[in-house]
Amino acid sequence: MKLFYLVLLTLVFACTDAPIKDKSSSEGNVCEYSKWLRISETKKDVLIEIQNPDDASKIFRIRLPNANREIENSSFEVEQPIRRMACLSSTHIGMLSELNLQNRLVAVSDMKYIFDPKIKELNPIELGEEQLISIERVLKSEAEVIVYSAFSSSFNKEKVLRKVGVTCIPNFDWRETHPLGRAEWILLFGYLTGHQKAAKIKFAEIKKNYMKIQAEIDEMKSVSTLSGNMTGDYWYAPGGDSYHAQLLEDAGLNYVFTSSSGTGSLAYSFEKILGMSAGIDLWLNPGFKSKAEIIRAYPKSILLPFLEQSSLFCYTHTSNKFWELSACRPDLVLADYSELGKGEKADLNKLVFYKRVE
Amino acid sequence: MSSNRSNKVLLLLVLISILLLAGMGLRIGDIPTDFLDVYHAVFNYSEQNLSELIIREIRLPRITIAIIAGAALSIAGMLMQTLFQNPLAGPYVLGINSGSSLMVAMGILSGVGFFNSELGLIGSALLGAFVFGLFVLFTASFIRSQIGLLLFGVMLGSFVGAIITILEASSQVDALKAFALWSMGSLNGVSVDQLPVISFVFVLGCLGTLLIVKPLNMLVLGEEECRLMGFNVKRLRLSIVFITALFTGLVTAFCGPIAFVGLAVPNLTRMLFKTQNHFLLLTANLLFGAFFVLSCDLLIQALSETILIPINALTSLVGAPFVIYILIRKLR
Repeated sequence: MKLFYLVLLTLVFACTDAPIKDKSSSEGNVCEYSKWLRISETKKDVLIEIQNPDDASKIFRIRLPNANREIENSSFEVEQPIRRMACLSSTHIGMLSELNLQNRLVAVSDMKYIFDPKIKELNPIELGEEQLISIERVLKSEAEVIVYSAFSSSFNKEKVLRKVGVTCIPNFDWRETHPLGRAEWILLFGYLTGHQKAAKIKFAEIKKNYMKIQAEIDEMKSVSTLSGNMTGDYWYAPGGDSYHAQLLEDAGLNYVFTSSSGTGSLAYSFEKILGMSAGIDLWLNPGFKSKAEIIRAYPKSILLPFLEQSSLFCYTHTSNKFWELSACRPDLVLADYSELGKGEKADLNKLVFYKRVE
Repeated sequence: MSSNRSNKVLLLLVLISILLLAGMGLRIGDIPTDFLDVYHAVFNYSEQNLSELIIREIRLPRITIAIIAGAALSIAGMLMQTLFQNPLAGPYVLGINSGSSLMVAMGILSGVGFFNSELGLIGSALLGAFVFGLFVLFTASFIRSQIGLLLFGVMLGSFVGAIITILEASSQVDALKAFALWSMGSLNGVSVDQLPVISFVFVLGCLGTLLIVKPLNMLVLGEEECRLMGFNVKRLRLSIVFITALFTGLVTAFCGPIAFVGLAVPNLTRMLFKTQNHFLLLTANLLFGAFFVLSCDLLIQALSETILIPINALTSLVGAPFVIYILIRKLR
């Protein structure tokens, strides 16, 4: 029994308005790349801090204390390691898959977005869209925690879920600007599930692969690369400071919007895209499987010279796989981009996510 | 200056403004072009020249459809207001637009082959507008109160909205996205190849309206007076519904919903010209409607670096306060 209580850690989750003290946040931070996740380990405990990117004063703290713990500002206590988890985003699910912890996943948003065959087999409960999840289904799933993406400013079900004893943990991996920073969120899942060691090994492996691919890339391949597509009246593309732009840069590709500022999406008129269309070698992520579909969705796309003249690649043939794995495996995405940067010499059989859009 | 002359001067000023705005719209954009490029794009087009390509394939269809959509919706609104003798009537308020929206929603969200094609969507929008136009006309024979008819239109809109919500709830993400984008309205979807067909239908509608100008003038005095003057009121009502459906369906099919134009502009022209002469009202609605939507489009282009505004949102932002003003004036 004693051993049981020693192993049984109590997770304390607290959301406070107090800013992170520099001392606690910087000292012994396990995370190297992440902007919004900090994990500090001491002999006594582990402190996980998740900062809201839009409000520096909002920090979600998760403390994994040892037996001599002192709980401050605690709002919740749930048993650790987490045995039953609900994840509302594909990227979270991918991280659990990478840690081979699919059996911890008891609820997801929608099964039709699942790629991992093991999860499909386990058939977790469907909760619905993040802002519309069914509380009754959460209870039915017996999830101890829900990891959500916080795409909206708040998670509107949080208050009710707290009342019924379910801890809600925000995940801001999508706000990271460095691909390895995003992948580093695998550590959160590692610590929550008691598999921190495996998570650290996994992340070290991802980082090593990423660095290796990056080091092997020729300095400048001058492959002029465009990303995105027309949605409605505008062409949406990743901003120059975004996670995706960083990946393209690390792959040695010359992203046409690299000098633009912003971590979110850029919106340009079709006219502007047409004006800068000369010399585009590679068009990534148009969001469709075929050129016919691109033209059908936006008939004026036929005017784009690079529709025929450039190499056109997308992950759409395996979207679920891409969304599930690309965040935690940026090394695989980088490998794809690096291969595509070789132009005619690219070995398309090596591509993990991407396929030519015919 | 006589009223007749001042009307002509005002209309001429609006016409000149439209021409100036259209010229500006053709010349100004993200890619710098000059008037020589505009001239070449229109009269001596070379596909190899990027500036000419942009003007001809992107700006020209956008400017043209802005003019046509504004004019068509305003004329449709004017016809509805005369038919129902109600200044608050319009294709959007009475639910005719809802008919188009419902049919388009069924096309996009059901994903059924023909209805999801370009031709299918245009046909659906026209059919929806016409069927709902007839339905409103039929119901109007039972509802004598002006406010009652408007309430009926609002209810019809809500009913259709509920059906669309059900369709959305069981739709795929891609179809939902396509429908959401369609419902924002856009002047960018029209290609230069579609302009002749759109212009032809528009001219047809204008000619149709021109042919019924005299009975429209009589209809203002009342159905009985109109009948006594030898006009077939039943046929006139059907003609009005048909022309309104044609205009509304045309705009909805190619641009999506564009709200408040058909309500605000006809009221504005009636306030400015203080006339029931439908020839003058037709001309005024044609010009003021075109001017209004064209101005909205240019404003959207000018603000696009700062904020992205769908056309349906901007026309509502400008049109709704004006309609509220009319409502207050009417109810006071």
